[in-house]
Amino acid sequence: MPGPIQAIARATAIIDLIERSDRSMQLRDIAQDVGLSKSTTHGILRTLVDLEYLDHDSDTGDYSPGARLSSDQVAELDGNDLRSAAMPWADALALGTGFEVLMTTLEGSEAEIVHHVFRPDDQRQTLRVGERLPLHATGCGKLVLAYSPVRQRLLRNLTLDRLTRKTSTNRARLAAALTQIRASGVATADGEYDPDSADVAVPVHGRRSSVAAIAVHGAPEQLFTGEGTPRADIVDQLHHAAAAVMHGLEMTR
Amino acid sequence: MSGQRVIATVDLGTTSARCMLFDQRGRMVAIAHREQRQSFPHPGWAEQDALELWRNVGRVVPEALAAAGLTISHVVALGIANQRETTVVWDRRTGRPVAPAITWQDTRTGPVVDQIADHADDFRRIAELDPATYFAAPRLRWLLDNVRGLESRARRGDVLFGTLESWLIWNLTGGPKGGVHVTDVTNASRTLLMDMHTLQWSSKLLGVFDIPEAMMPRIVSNSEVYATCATVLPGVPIAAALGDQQAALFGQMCFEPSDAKCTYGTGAFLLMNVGTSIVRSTHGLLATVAYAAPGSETMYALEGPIAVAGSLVQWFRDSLGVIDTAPQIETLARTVDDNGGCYIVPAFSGIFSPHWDSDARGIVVGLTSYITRGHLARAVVEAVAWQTWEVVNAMTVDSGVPLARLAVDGGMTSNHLLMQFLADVLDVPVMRPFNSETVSLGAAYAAGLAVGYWPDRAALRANRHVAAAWYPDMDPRVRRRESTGWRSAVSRALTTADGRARV
Repeated sequence: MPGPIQAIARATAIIDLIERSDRSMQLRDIAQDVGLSKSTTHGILRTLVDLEYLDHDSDTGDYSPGARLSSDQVAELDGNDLRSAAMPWADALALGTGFEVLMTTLEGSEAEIVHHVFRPDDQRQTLRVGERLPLHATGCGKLVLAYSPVRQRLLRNLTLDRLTRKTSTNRARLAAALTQIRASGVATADGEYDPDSADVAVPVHGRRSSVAAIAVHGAPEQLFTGEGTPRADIVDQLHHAAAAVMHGLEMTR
Repeated sequence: MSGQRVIATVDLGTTSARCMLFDQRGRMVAIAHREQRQSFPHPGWAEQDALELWRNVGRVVPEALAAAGLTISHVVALGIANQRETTVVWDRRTGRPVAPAITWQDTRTGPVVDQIADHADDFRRIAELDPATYFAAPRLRWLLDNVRGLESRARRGDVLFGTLESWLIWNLTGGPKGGVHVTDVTNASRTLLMDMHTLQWSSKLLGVFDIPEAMMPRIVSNSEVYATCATVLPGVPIAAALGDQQAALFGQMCFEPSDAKCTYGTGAFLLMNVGTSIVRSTHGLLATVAYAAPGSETMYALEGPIAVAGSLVQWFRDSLGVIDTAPQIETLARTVDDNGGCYIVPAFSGIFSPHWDSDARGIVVGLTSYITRGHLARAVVEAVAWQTWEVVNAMTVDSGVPLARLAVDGGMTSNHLLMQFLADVLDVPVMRPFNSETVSLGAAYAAGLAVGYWPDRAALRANRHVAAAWYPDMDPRVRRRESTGWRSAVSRALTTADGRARV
């Protein structure tokens, strides 16, 4: 079987980008964000406009979702659907690993915690659902950033605050990290937000390129090996939980 | 996994039949489920096909084993939990039900209950219950009256009565070929026919309903080997059966007096362990058996059943089409900051505890042009919490013990807004344990204790941890104002003057 057809993959990336954009986009921005030349991008855009997937305002040059993409179909993962489908598997992940479990979705230029399971040790803990996390300093933030169709724009505009001694504020290094995360399917942060804690996150894929993160959160020395890589058994359990959550999400449709 | 030994459970719920496997740490290893159809042929009627239910059990058990990569030889024992009060009568020779099962939501038996009203004192004294359409005996009487020839077949001993655990155990143990006909004490305590003090059928109450004792199952404890499966799990001992809410109370490890839990499913059921003596309610709660096992004293509970909880969200989704999925009730409710003065009283099958008004009907109050669907969604979520609040208030008065915290379980515990609002209106912490499948877990614990898989209850406690907790964070003035709004809405839904006279 041949590999993916490049033109369709590129067109889909452009549609995802324009659908999720919170402002109008022009050729220049679009080409830059999907990483294609202006002429290639223009060819794809023109076809998408002809087929009514996109609208083009010839006065302003703005592209926007067209008639075939009714606007209420932008199916971002609903955090409440996600929590409901994830609950048994997130519970099992916390029990199996002994760590807290967090799930996040991208909300503007932050990651929002949509589900939180306590560490199974009965010490008093505080539910963090609704809390916003910085994208550049947490594993579950980096993960939802890495998989977002609008990651290039977010990356350009993010304020990279130094939150701890370990926070990286280097934009180029973050860009490289995002590429690495997409290649490996695992995002980590070690003491970059709270100096005493780390997290390891993997993606939960929903419909239409939407992605949430499921992460375990705890002490760095318990999450990472001596070489600084996340423990393989933990990554395995994360992937297992993510697959079960995705299956659960499919069942609720 | 070849050395792994597990406990299997079957939970016959209102909407599905489910099989789960649990390991020694109380962790769910696998789950399989099948939707269970319900039919509503007339207003107030609710039925299920008992044969479909039995067929579903035959499917989900092998599916769960396959999902875990295990075989029957890995199963140490089977525990059963079931929707209570649902009534089946079947032919002991053919194994065929004589009519559809009449489920706990069904209210057709109003006239039957009216006929025995003169004997209400006997029921209160012996069964510790006020006669109501909610219980099984009126349904059995209705079947004897309305299925042609059934009365004489019953007198000849040709047909058997049971709630769903009886039906399941009889079929598992061979059906027409030697099926064991038993019911557990918690299910029996919901028929109106059991003497709550002796835990045996009351011939006096059987006489009031004119029910032949020949069709009644033998009453057994919740945790002992009743028999061995002849099919589905051949050779595996059936070692526990509990009504689903008592199973959840056990699964939540509410072993001590004043421990309480609320399970949020189709309905919501709040049970409090009251110890080894029956506590009679004067505020619209039910006295019920919590747990009985050989060699230990029987534990009793006070129960506040709420007929409509998750089913209100389902109605919002399926009948009104306002949301696509049940969890999105929270998404919609969060589009507004409060209920905008709007309250929904979901008296779809009358109101159960603590008002017991079977003629009450649902209402929406406070509609103005300001109200959006977000406010209605908010009112849906809040209605579930306020109904719980009413039951908790009744329980505090009846038991004399204020609630210190509430343990919760069931699908709706994934609704974060509901759980926080619940903590806010109850003004106590709300705790969700790991494994919110407490109904099945309770059945597994009871079965595992019976066969020595776990040595004692203390060993179970090591498995219990808190997965989430919500703490009260509401201005008492807001709580007072909103509780007044709710109470006023309820008073408009009730048909009776004091709201408590028609049990």
